[in-house]
Amino acid sequence: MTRLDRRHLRNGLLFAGPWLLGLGAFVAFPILRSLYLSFCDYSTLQPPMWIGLQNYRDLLKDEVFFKSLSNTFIFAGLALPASILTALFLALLLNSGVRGLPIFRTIFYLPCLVPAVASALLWLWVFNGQYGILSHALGTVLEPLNGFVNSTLAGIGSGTRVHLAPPVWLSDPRWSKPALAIMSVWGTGGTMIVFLAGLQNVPTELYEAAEIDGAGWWRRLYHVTLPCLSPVIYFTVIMGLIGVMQFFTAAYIIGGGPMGGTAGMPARSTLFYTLYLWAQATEWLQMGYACAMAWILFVITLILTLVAHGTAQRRVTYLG
Amino acid sequence: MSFLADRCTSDVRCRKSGLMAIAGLTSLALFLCAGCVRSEPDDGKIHLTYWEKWERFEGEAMQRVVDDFNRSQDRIVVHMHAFGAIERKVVAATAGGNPPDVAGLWMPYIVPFAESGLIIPLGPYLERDGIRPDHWTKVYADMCTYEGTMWAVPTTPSATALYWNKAMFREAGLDPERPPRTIAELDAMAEKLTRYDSEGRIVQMGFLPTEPDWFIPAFGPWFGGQPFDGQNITANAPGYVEALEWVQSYSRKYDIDRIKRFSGGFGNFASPQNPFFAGKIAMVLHGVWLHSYIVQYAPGMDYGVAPWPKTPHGPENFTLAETDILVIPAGLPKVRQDAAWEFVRFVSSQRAMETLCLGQQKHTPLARVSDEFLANHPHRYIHLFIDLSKGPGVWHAPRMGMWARYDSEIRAAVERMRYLQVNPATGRPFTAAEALDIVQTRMEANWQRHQDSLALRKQQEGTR
Repeated sequence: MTRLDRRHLRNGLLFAGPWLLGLGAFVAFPILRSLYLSFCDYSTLQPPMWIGLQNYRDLLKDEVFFKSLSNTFIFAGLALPASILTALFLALLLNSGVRGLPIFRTIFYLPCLVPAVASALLWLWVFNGQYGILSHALGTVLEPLNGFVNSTLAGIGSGTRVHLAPPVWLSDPRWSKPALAIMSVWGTGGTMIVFLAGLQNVPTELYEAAEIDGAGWWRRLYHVTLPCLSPVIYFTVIMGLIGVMQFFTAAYIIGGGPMGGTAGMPARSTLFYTLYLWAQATEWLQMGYACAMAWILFVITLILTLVAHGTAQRRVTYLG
Repeated sequence: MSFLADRCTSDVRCRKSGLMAIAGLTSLALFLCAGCVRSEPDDGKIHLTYWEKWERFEGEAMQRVVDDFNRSQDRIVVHMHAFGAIERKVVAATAGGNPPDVAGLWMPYIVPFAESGLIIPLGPYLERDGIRPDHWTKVYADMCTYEGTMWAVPTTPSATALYWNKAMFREAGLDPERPPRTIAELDAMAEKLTRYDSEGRIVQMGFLPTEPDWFIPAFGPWFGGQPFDGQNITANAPGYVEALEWVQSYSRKYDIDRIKRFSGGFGNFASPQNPFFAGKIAMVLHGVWLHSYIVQYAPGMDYGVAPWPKTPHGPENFTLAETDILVIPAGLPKVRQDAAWEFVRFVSSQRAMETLCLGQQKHTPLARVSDEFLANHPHRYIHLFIDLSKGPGVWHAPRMGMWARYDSEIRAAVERMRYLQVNPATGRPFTAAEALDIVQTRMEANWQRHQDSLALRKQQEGTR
């Protein structure tokens, strides 16, 4: 190494230094520290005390931990497919040469710009059991349906009557998670933009060749569009999975009562994993326990990502 | 490196780049250190930072007291800053070594913060200045006392009572001046006040135990139980069983699906859509503060206030009491702690405290109440709250470090009962005993762990 090279190296390190320092101090150190703290009794205010695997052992006996985990999985199972399919559907619509594309793109993307707290407060009214627009709309559909079914039942001499009513969403433990999943679809504009970008990269000659071979819209979608879009779908599934496992803000506002919080109302049906973790760390000052929860979440997310990666590996097509 | 190699064509330029990098690092270090330093005006006075949770008219009332203190002497200046989630910010700031000088919190944080060493005991200051606990109403002084010393002083207190809407009573053919005195009367009046529309949907309820759901953990003591006997968790004691059965009786009597639909239309507490303000619920259990919200969101409402109705095994004139508090965080230099105490002592004086409590339209936590305070108070039932807080039926949350967790478990048990959730073990809705056994088991384990943690910490401190 010449003198000049050594100078280049030194100056390079000096320039990269602040970033490396920041990465070490604000990312690497907290991550490694949280791993250490997960083996400690730690309230943030006093020095951590090493207790070995006690936090992990207690977690395995904690029913609320498993409740929060199952809530998160159920929500992920509802919200992730709904968001991705809706985003894909909207992107396909917008990619079909519709007039005023920029306007529609903006309209669909707009909800992503609404702050999470504001959008949660808005959806509280949409899901209001008495005055909510969604219940009202469903009521106008269900009322004639009830009339039709009941008149049919009466016509065949049955004494049975049905009364289908819209759900009360956030006041009912059975409907609170589906309600939040519907809400998450509203913010799918960002994913839609990614899909749209992916669709505009699909080579037109592939569509032309498929058309010459007599492929209709559905076959072109299945044999050309989706394979070409598969890396984008793979990316959004992985990112969506990570995001949905960390679902927090809307649940904190909607399921937390009048001031927001970690109650997971109604009846702990919206107590998601990160809410329980937050309660442990900040409300009950069990930071060691919360760190153990964070690492379990990391491992779960990692496993799910690896499973998704392994499943997708055979199905993702990279062009070029 | 290639970026540099392309541009560093001479030693001089490279030296400049190196100097720039060093300057950058120095700036970063200065930037990071800036947050660690207290900056104060150089006027020879001690400037104290006071963090509070109150905003709007409550914050303005406290600001008047702060201004009075700043005018009353020329050594100390208090700067009040108000924001939400204050307890988390106090924890983070204290853990980071830069706490406020005084913090306004709530009573349930006293024990966990005292156990964690986050706040200093005020007992030595009180003793030095000759202020005895009987300066305050007993229940409020008791709440601030842990292990024989006071760790906080009460500011604005609360007591709770039954508010009823007299107009709704008249419409239902009930005597508007005669509130329910027993739980049986409450249930009977609630039934008379409940109305349905032509399709059987509830449009008005006399009473709903979970509206608001703020006082649920007090239901057990209201029915004669106690969550903690000083040594052991007693969640499944008869009082709580009776209380949860009573809560569930409303879900069965009025049908939980109809209640869910009815309550699904409730708005926020501080809004005209609050079911009590909107005339949807005729009776609610609420705190002394409700008056100021009625004035704002339901002006002209004709209402009365009475003690919680008597339960078969509970005390006469039951009330749940709580209080806002002032604490001095640990980790400050002695001179600042002393100055902070000067301010806390000023706030605890009768004149300042009554200014604050009048401004916030609450009663005073002090044992002595001036005639002027009572004469000027806008809440016409303020005497009742003072009497309830001094009466034999007053109850406050137990002084235990894990009460917040315990509270959330009791709420979860009530929700199980309220929603008639099915017990997987029996295939039938949870009984009160089953729901409370879960609380008992979980909290016994938590209590044991909490005790172990305290013992381990003491042991470690002993070996240091």
